[in-house]
Amino acid sequence: MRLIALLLENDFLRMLFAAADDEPDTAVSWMTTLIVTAALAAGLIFAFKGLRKYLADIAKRKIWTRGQTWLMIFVGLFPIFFALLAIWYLNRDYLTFVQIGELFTGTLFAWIIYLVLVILGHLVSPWRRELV
Amino acid sequence: MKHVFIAIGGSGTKVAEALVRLLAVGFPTRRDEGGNATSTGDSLQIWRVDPDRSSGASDDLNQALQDYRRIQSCLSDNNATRSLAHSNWAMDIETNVRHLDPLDLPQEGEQDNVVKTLRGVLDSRHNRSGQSVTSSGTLLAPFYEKKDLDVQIDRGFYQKPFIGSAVMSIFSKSLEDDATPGGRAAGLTAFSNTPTNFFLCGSLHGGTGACGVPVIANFLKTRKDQNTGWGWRIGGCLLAPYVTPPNPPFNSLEDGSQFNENDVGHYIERYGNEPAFAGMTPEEKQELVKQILQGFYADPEDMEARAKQGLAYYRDHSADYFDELYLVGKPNPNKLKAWSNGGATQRNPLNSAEIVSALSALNFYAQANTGNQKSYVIGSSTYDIPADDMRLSHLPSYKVGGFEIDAEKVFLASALLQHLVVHQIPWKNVRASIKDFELCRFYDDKEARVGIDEPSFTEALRLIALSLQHLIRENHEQFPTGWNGRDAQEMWKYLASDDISIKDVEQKLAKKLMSKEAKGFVALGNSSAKFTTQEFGKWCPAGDQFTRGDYLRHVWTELFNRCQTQLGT
Repeated sequence: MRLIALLLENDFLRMLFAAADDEPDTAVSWMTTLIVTAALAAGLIFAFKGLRKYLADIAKRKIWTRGQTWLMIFVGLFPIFFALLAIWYLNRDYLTFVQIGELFTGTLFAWIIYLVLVILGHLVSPWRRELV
Repeated sequence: MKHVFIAIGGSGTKVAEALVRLLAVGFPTRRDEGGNATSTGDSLQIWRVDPDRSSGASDDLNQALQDYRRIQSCLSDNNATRSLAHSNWAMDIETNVRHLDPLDLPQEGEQDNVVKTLRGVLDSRHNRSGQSVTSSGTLLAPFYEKKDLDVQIDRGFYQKPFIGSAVMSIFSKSLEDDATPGGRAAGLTAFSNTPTNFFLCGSLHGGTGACGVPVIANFLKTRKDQNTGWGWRIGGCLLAPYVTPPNPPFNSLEDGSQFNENDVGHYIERYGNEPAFAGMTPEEKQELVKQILQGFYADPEDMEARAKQGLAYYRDHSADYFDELYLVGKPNPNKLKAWSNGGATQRNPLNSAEIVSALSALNFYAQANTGNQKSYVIGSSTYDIPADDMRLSHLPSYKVGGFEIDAEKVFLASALLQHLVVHQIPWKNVRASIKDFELCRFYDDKEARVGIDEPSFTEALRLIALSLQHLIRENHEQFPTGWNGRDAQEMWKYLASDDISIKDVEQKLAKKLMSKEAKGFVALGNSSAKFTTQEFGKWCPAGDQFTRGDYLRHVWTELFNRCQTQLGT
């Protein structure tokens, strides 16, 4: 939480939540939501890929091409947006204090976190040759 | 081990073609240091003894050898210009056939043995200007009719071994001298003190084969007995009738009947457009008409009787020349539709009896020793098997170092090899595949080799598939092969490149959900194998110094070891 609070002190990141000074709890909560959603999406994407590989009935189907891998990463961006949209819409605080524009910048932030996690995850795993 | 296959006449040449194709698809002759069945390390030379230099059988053999050379070059260093076809997939074969033309006899004078008739050979120096040699005519007269002495024999001996045996005897004598054409072609001096398996093959009932096999075997046996330390072995395969030709376009004249040039012209006018005369010059047509009128052609009525006489001759005189002697034939021979009197027009697909004969050669080369010194039979088919309905499971098996080689399993393993290497290795994504494919790990630090290896494997396996298809082509009324078509159809599923066929095979090789076991099994006739593509991915020779030939042989061995005879069949 302290880390998120520190992040919110950053000018750039304050773009994600302009009313951070007035609603610090909501700001931290929103920030946490963005990061957790991104991490969950990355985890789900890895789990999906791992499961597909495990269930592949033919050995060559276990092998993912670079194109397939990037496509999967790209596809993973959509659930993040829809998840955040749903969370934003269903949470009264977010609906009140997080502006539409901040929803989009928040989504962009989550996407960046997600991309960093997915790419790093590939690079440190045996799947790195499927990415680069 | 050094092997020599001596193909005598057209039937022997067809068996040589079958042998080359069997070796191309992976049939083994020995076991390597690791105990795996292979033919690498052995070498083969093919000698062809036939006056018919331009025969269709010879063209087919040369095509098979060209394919073999291409396969071997693809699996070694892509140098297809060498005459010795070498790789670690199959044995080395000298792809330049040594043509031992029995009419290419030593000459004392320029005109000796130039005319290719029996008289031209046995009485060649008579009546020549400036020569005063007494004619052999009086000596030959009790043995031969005039027509026998004057018929052209450069297309074979027309099922008349009594014509060919005289020429063959002179020819085999000439082999002793490396300076003669025959001696030069055979190069027997190179086999001195070298353990060698000589295998002779020819028909029992034909002309060239019937007279050539015993004469050449006798020659080799004599030399072998004079040099017992050389380690020579002599094997032979006699082909009893397995195909019968149709009758010629017209009948021969009765014995003693005369004909003149006008008669010949009349026959050419009437029959000259028949397929038997296709592609012939007017002179060749005239010669063929004369041969038919005089009865110099393969008479289907006489074949069985001649085979019986031949067998009796072997029983009384020639069987002892051989360490192993095999007899192959069909109780009900296949019937050829197209008539031919030799030459390039005589093109027949491989017959199942020729495959059996080639397997007998492999049995001999593998030193399997069939039966004992007094037994010599491998059946091609029995009365229970229709001559035009053979299956791969009917083929005789042989042993390599005590390890049974079932032809049907070899066919299955080789067909699967093609499917796996061409369609199951992710050639386009080798970098990402090192975890699942050991071969891809091999390419990890030499990725440039993928661009060479993939097309080389594909081309070699295309030619191996072609040989598989040549060997068991379905019986056809116009081109009888003796094969039931089911094996060819079943095998085609593994060789085909269309998406439906590939998916069909993949279904069987796919692993079950949450299990390492394959969903189905791949089968050919009575043989089947069960494995997954995941297992295939792990098959790779050890180390990082292996060749394409090593890899294919390794995968083939894994496949062959997994092939089993299905229960209840």
